[in-house]
Amino acid sequence: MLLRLNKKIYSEPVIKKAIKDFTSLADFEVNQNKKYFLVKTIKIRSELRKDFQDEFSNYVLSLMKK
Amino acid sequence: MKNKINLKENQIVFFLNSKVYPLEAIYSASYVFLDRTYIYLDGDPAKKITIFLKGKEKLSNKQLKSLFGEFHNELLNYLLRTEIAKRNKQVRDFIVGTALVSSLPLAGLSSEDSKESYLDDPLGIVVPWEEKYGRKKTKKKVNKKK
Repeated sequence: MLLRLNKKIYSEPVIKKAIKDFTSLADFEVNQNKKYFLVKTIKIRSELRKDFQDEFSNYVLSLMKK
Repeated sequence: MKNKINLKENQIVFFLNSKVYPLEAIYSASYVFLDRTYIYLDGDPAKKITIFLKGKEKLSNKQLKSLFGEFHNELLNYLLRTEIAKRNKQVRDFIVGTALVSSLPLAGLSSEDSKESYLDDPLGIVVPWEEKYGRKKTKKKVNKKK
Protein backbone atom coordinates (compact mmCIF):
# COMPACT_ATOMS: atom_id res chain seq x y z
CA MET A 1 0.00 0.00 0.00
CA LEU A 2 1.30 3.42 -0.91
CA LEU A 3 0.45 6.62 0.94
CA ARG A 4 1.31 9.96 -0.59
CA LEU A 5 1.82 12.73 1.94
CA ASN A 6 2.18 16.27 0.64
CA LYS A 7 5.55 17.78 1.62
CA LYS A 8 4.03 21.19 2.23
CA ILE A 9 1.48 19.79 4.67
CA TYR A 10 3.22 16.86 6.38
CA SER A 11 6.75 17.22 7.73
CA GLU A 12 9.48 14.60 7.43
CA PRO A 13 10.40 14.36 11.16
CA VAL A 14 6.74 13.78 12.00
CA ILE A 15 6.43 11.00 9.40
CA LYS A 16 9.60 9.38 10.77
CA LYS A 17 8.21 9.58 14.30
CA ALA A 18 4.93 7.99 13.17
CA ILE A 19 6.79 5.18 11.40
CA LYS A 20 8.83 4.57 14.53
CA ASP A 21 5.62 4.32 16.57
CA PHE A 22 3.97 1.98 14.02
CA THR A 23 7.01 -0.12 13.36
CA SER A 24 5.74 -3.07 15.40
CA LEU A 25 2.62 -3.29 13.20
CA ALA A 26 4.17 -3.19 9.74
CA ASP A 27 7.31 -2.57 7.71
CA PHE A 28 7.77 0.77 6.00
CA GLU A 29 9.69 2.17 3.09
CA VAL A 30 9.91 5.91 2.57
CA ASN A 31 10.76 7.57 -0.70
CA GLN A 32 9.99 10.99 -2.05
CA ASN A 33 9.40 12.84 -5.24
CA LYS A 34 9.23 16.58 -5.79
CA LYS A 35 5.83 17.02 -4.15
CA TYR A 36 5.18 14.00 -1.94
CA PHE A 37 6.66 11.70 0.66
CA LEU A 38 5.83 8.21 -0.55
CA VAL A 39 5.23 5.89 2.39
CA LYS A 40 4.99 2.28 1.35
CA THR A 41 3.66 -0.16 3.91
CA ILE A 42 4.47 -3.83 3.62
CA LYS A 43 3.92 -6.87 5.81
CA ILE A 44 0.97 -5.32 7.62
CA ARG A 45 -0.54 -7.53 10.27
CA SER A 46 -3.53 -9.21 8.64
CA GLU A 47 -6.09 -8.09 11.24
CA LEU A 48 -5.08 -4.43 10.75
CA ARG A 49 -4.84 -4.38 6.99
CA LYS A 50 -8.27 -2.88 6.30
CA ASP A 51 -7.82 0.56 7.88
CA PHE A 52 -4.09 0.62 8.41
CA GLN A 53 -3.27 3.33 5.89
CA ASP A 54 -6.08 5.62 7.08
CA GLU A 55 -5.12 5.13 10.72
CA PHE A 56 -1.50 5.87 9.92
CA SER A 57 -2.48 9.00 8.02
CA ASN A 58 -4.60 10.14 10.98
CA TYR A 59 -1.73 9.51 13.36
CA VAL A 60 0.67 11.60 11.26
CA LEU A 61 -1.91 14.40 11.18
CA SER A 62 -2.35 14.26 14.96
CA LEU A 63 1.42 14.63 15.37
CA MET A 64 1.38 17.63 13.03
CA LYS A 65 -0.94 19.44 15.38
CA LYS A 66 1.43 19.07 18.36
CA MET B 1 -19.30 26.08 -0.69
CA LYS B 2 -18.46 23.25 -3.05
CA ASN B 3 -18.08 19.71 -1.86
CA LYS B 4 -18.10 16.31 -3.40
CA ILE B 5 -19.75 13.40 -1.67
CA ASN B 6 -18.72 9.87 -2.51
CA LEU B 7 -21.09 7.48 -0.76
CA LYS B 8 -19.27 4.42 -1.99
CA GLU B 9 -16.05 5.63 -0.39
CA ASN B 10 -18.01 6.99 2.62
CA GLN B 11 -16.19 10.24 2.00
CA ILE B 12 -16.68 13.97 1.46
CA VAL B 13 -14.08 16.09 -0.31
CA PHE B 14 -13.90 19.87 -0.24
CA PHE B 15 -11.47 22.73 -0.74
CA LEU B 16 -10.42 25.51 1.60
CA ASN B 17 -8.80 28.79 0.66
CA SER B 18 -5.54 28.98 2.60
CA LYS B 19 -5.72 32.75 2.78
CA VAL B 20 -8.94 32.47 4.77
CA TYR B 21 -8.14 29.29 6.68
CA PRO B 22 -4.46 28.98 7.63
CA LEU B 23 -2.90 25.54 7.85
CA GLU B 24 -2.61 25.75 11.65
CA ALA B 25 -6.37 26.21 11.99
CA ILE B 26 -6.95 23.26 9.63
CA TYR B 27 -4.64 21.04 11.71
CA SER B 28 -6.49 22.02 14.89
CA ALA B 29 -9.95 21.50 13.44
CA SER B 30 -8.89 18.16 11.95
CA TYR B 31 -7.60 17.02 15.31
CA VAL B 32 -11.10 17.30 16.76
CA PHE B 33 -12.47 14.94 14.08
CA LEU B 34 -9.76 12.27 14.26
CA ASP B 35 -11.83 10.01 16.51
CA ARG B 36 -14.80 9.96 14.09
CA THR B 37 -13.20 10.27 10.67
CA TYR B 38 -10.13 9.52 8.64
CA ILE B 39 -8.69 12.79 7.40
CA TYR B 40 -6.28 13.30 4.57
CA LEU B 41 -4.97 16.69 3.47
CA ASP B 42 -3.52 17.65 0.13
CA GLY B 43 -2.98 20.74 -2.00
CA ASP B 44 -0.90 23.86 -1.65
CA PRO B 45 -0.93 25.68 1.71
CA ALA B 46 -0.22 28.92 -0.13
CA LYS B 47 -3.37 28.65 -2.26
CA LYS B 48 -5.90 25.90 -1.74
CA ILE B 49 -6.04 22.89 0.56
CA THR B 50 -8.08 19.79 -0.24
CA ILE B 51 -9.69 18.00 2.70
CA PHE B 52 -10.78 14.37 2.46
CA LEU B 53 -13.10 13.40 5.31
CA LYS B 54 -13.90 9.71 5.43
CA GLY B 55 -16.26 8.33 8.06
CA LYS B 56 -14.97 5.53 10.27
CA GLU B 57 -18.51 4.17 10.33
CA LYS B 58 -20.89 4.06 7.37
CA LEU B 59 -22.45 7.52 6.92
CA SER B 60 -25.43 8.66 4.89
CA ASN B 61 -25.43 11.58 2.47
CA LYS B 62 -27.03 13.78 5.15
CA GLN B 63 -24.51 12.74 7.77
CA LEU B 64 -21.60 13.50 5.46
CA LYS B 65 -23.03 16.96 4.77
CA SER B 66 -23.46 17.49 8.50
CA LEU B 67 -19.84 16.49 9.02
CA PHE B 68 -18.85 19.09 6.45
CA GLY B 69 -20.77 21.78 8.35
CA GLU B 70 -19.34 20.73 11.69
CA PHE B 71 -15.83 20.85 10.29
CA HIS B 72 -16.37 24.42 9.13
CA ASN B 73 -17.75 25.44 12.51
CA GLU B 74 -14.68 23.98 14.18
CA LEU B 75 -12.48 25.85 11.71
CA LEU B 76 -14.15 29.14 12.64
CA ASN B 77 -13.71 28.32 16.30
CA TYR B 78 -9.95 27.87 15.83
CA LEU B 79 -9.68 30.93 13.62
CA LEU B 80 -11.17 33.02 16.39
CA ARG B 81 -8.90 31.43 18.97
CA THR B 82 -5.76 32.15 16.96
CA GLU B 83 -6.93 35.70 16.28
CA ILE B 84 -7.53 36.37 20.00
CA ALA B 85 -4.19 34.75 20.87
CA LYS B 86 -2.49 37.09 18.38
CA ARG B 87 -4.23 40.16 19.78
CA ASN B 88 -3.47 39.32 23.41
CA LYS B 89 0.11 38.19 22.90
CA GLN B 90 1.68 41.36 24.30
CA VAL B 91 -0.54 41.37 27.38
CA ARG B 92 0.13 37.67 28.02
CA ASP B 93 3.89 38.15 27.65
CA PHE B 94 3.77 41.09 30.03
CA ILE B 95 1.80 39.17 32.67
CA VAL B 96 4.04 36.12 32.49
CA GLY B 97 7.17 38.28 32.49
CA THR B 98 6.01 40.21 35.55
CA ALA B 99 5.11 37.00 37.36
CA LEU B 100 8.51 35.48 36.63
CA VAL B 101 10.47 38.56 37.68
CA SER B 102 8.50 38.98 40.89
CA SER B 103 9.18 35.34 41.81
CA LEU B 104 12.96 35.82 41.61
CA PRO B 105 14.75 36.03 44.97
CA LEU B 106 16.03 39.59 45.57
CA ALA B 107 19.49 38.46 46.69
CA GLY B 108 20.00 36.68 43.41
CA LEU B 109 19.49 39.76 41.26
CA SER B 110 23.10 41.00 41.40
CA SER B 111 25.85 40.58 43.91
CA GLU B 112 27.38 43.95 42.96
CA ASP B 113 24.18 45.85 43.62
CA SER B 114 24.07 44.77 47.23
CA LYS B 115 27.66 45.90 47.91
CA GLU B 116 27.18 49.39 46.51
CA SER B 117 26.33 52.18 48.85
CA TYR B 118 25.17 55.72 48.30
CA LEU B 119 28.42 56.82 49.94
CA ASP B 120 30.48 55.35 47.11
CA ASP B 121 31.13 57.89 44.40
CA PRO B 122 33.29 56.35 41.66
CA LEU B 123 32.56 59.21 39.22
CA GLY B 124 33.26 61.97 41.73
CA ILE B 125 29.90 63.61 41.38
CA VAL B 126 29.18 64.17 45.00
CA VAL B 127 30.42 67.52 46.32
CA PRO B 128 29.82 68.42 49.94
CA TRP B 129 27.58 71.42 50.48
CA GLU B 130 30.22 73.21 52.47
CA GLU B 131 32.76 72.83 49.66
CA LYS B 132 30.38 74.14 47.07
CA TYR B 133 28.75 77.04 48.91
CA GLY B 134 31.13 77.66 51.80
CA ARG B 135 30.29 77.57 55.47
CA LYS B 136 26.93 78.80 56.49
CA LYS B 137 27.18 82.21 58.09
CA THR B 138 25.62 82.38 61.46
CA LYS B 139 23.52 85.43 62.01
CA LYS B 140 24.26 87.40 65.04
CA LYS B 141 21.32 87.92 67.12
CA VAL B 142 20.83 91.50 68.05
CA ASN B 143 18.68 92.15 70.97
CA LYS B 144 17.00 95.35 70.42
CA LYS B 145 16.12 97.05 73.50
CA LYS B 146 12.95 98.83 73.40
